[in-house]
Amino acid sequence: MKKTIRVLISKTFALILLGHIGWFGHEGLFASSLGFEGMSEEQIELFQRVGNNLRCPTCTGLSVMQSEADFAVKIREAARDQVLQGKSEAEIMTFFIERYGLWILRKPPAEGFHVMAWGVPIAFALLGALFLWFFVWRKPKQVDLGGIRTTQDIMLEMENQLAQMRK
Amino acid sequence: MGAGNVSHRVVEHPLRRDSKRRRPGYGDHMFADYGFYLMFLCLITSSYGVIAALVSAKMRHRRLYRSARVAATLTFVMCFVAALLMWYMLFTRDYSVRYIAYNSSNDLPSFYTLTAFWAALEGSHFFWTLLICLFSLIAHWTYSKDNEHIMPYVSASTQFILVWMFYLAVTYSDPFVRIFPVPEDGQGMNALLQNPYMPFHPPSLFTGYSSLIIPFSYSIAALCYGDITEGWLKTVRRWTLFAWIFLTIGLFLGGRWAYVELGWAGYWAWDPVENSSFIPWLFSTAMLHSLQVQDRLGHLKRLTIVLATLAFFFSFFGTFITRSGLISSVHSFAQSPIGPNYLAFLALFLCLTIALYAVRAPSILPFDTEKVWGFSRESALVITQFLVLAFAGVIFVGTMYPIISEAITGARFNVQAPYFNAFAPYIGFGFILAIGIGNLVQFKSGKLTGGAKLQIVAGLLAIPLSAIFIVGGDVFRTKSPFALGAQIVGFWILSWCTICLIYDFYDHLKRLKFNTKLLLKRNLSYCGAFVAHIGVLVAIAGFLGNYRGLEREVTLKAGESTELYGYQFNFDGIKMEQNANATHYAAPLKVTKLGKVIGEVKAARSKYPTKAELMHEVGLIGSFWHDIYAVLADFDKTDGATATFQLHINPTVRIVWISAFIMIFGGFLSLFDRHRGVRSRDHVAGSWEV
Repeated sequence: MKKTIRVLISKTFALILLGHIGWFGHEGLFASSLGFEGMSEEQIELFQRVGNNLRCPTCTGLSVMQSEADFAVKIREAARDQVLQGKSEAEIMTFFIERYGLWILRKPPAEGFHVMAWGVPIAFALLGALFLWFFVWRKPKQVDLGGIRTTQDIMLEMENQLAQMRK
Repeated sequence: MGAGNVSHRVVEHPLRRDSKRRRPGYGDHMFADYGFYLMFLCLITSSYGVIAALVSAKMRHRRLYRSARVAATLTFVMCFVAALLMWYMLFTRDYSVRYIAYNSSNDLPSFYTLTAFWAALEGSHFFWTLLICLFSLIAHWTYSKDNEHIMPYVSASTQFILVWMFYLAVTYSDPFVRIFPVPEDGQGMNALLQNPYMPFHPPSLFTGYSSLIIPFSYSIAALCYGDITEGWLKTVRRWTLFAWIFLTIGLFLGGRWAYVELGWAGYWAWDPVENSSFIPWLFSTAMLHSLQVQDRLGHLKRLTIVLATLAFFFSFFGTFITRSGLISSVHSFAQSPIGPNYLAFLALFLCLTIALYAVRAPSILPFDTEKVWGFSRESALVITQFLVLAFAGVIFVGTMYPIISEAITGARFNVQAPYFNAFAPYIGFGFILAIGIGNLVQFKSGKLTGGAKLQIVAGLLAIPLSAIFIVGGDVFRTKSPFALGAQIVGFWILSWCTICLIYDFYDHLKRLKFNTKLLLKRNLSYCGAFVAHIGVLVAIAGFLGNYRGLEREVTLKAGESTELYGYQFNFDGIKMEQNANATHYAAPLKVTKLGKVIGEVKAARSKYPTKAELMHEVGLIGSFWHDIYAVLADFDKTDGATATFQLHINPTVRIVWISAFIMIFGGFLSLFDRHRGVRSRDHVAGSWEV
């Protein structure tokens, strides 16, 4: 029983992690795309993955799947042709990168300088986690005020002294 | 009306209807000039205000401070009068003013004439200035007695910002500039902005941005004075929460606007302007959590100050990167050569605040409490802040990446949605964990409410609860294994977290022997936080649904029909309709499911008199689980018998809108807690500290 649970958990996490390897990953979180005739299920999925990672050259912030601009439609059709020719994801992406440069991508590739785009946030997260672990979580901290007291402490002390004097 | 008046009616051509009032040209009335003079006077009064406030702070001169306060009041009054003049000229269609000629036209309905005030750069900047004046006025007149001695610093810092705003308003962003020759008709308002959400989206965002000036100026005042004063926390908490509420409203309205107006079936595109309005929201969220630690334990005072300053800084930063044209965005209807000025201002702002912080922050000390951190509520709050700030950091890197990559590699690389979406799920996951555990664990002792028993029960109860979502939302249609896994795990952990939160609420009530009235009266802010956290969880549930979505592009002739996700769509031909100033080419689709009529989605394209292109009018009917969203991509312009549609099934979008109401309601609940942040509350409430 325990083993089954462990396998299940590790498989779920493996799935989540696998989804992020390489450029492609999953379709967008906040928008997804498109309808097509004459394609098999896998081809549609591949086409969507490719299309969602190619930017519309003439608009801001949209993929070729989301845009109806002429240029975007052309790229979309070119991508569709390539999918129908049975090319793989990597081949199609290389085709577009050779044509338009890295610029055509919507997220930076994990190579060269662009490693930074992924590395910096991840490093930040890890360092932050370490920082939290060592300085916040593990160390119940005694604050040394160097003799300075808050007004409340002083008031409390005075009240105590007064109480003692009354005794 | 008699027959004799016919000729008179002919003379009243629609374009000249208000010819008596609107005689364009120089010299009929000088309102535009008065407006400019008023802005200039505002620049002078606010400059005086800064100097007077600083001197009064140095010399502890009460009457001089009062004159600074009068200056701030005068600034608001003059700015308000200038704004009224602007509105008057908009309504009388005074096209001798460039801003009005470029952003309105005779056909503009009066509702949008009102909002044309903030439809472009100069006007929105003016509107923002007006709101900052308003919040400066509020800061000057609604201080608590405990804070009276730091008010000169508050006054100086708010008026310093105003000096900058008015400097821009009289130089690079002057809304009252005139043009010659005066056009007969204006160029019309951007048709994208002629949408019922637009009048409310910018004002609420600007209200959020501007009200951040109060936490900011109190932080500067605390630094200058060298300590956090007694009533400081109450004021800062109230206005941070206020800003948070309005930023939330603004963000969701913006999302809704994008959803119904832009026609790409999404509400959030990680556009630079969206990002830069989201960053202040994240900072104010982080700040609310650090204020919580400060209130209870007297720690994280300096962090609060840093966060308040940065939140305010980023509200300007967003404007800078888009208006300067540094990064292009869908909000590029607001560009001008004010970039270098903004850069100078932001640099000065950062230098001043960092220098002040470096010199003065060491004097701000935490309370001498026995034990902090370790496994406890305060640690959970710190971790929450870390998550929120990490999210802000990712968004900042992504937004600035075009500039960074251009500076280093020479080639500009625009980072778009897939980049942010790669991080968002993990951060969302972290948020859920932090909300769940953070709300259960107690301050200092670190005792977990409900203990291990609750965890087991909640984990088990979450299974049927998440099953409702998974079955109802038809999650198993998702193809990609990552998306499927994320949704199943996501819904389960969301359900677990919701149960934990509800138990915590129940526990609070139980400790008060179910005296709900007392809880509401004494700890409204807890109730508000509970509701707002539930809202965040509901929002995340809504975002998760966006992993699955169906889309189909289809060309139909009149009388034909198509099918998607079990719905039957019948097309009946294009109809022309007149709607205020716009002509709609509507293509209604009758939606039926298993022969039962569901309704009609009316996708349309609209033509505005002053614009050449056809705008999208989205057709939308929604149920709880998914929206049917139709876009008219193209149609036969000769006979209107064929049309190309993009049909989308967008799951759980409605849940996102519902979550907005929950979050905002929670925010308002907390805002009306009169006790939080007041030390004396502890004496009054005594054992009621829950």
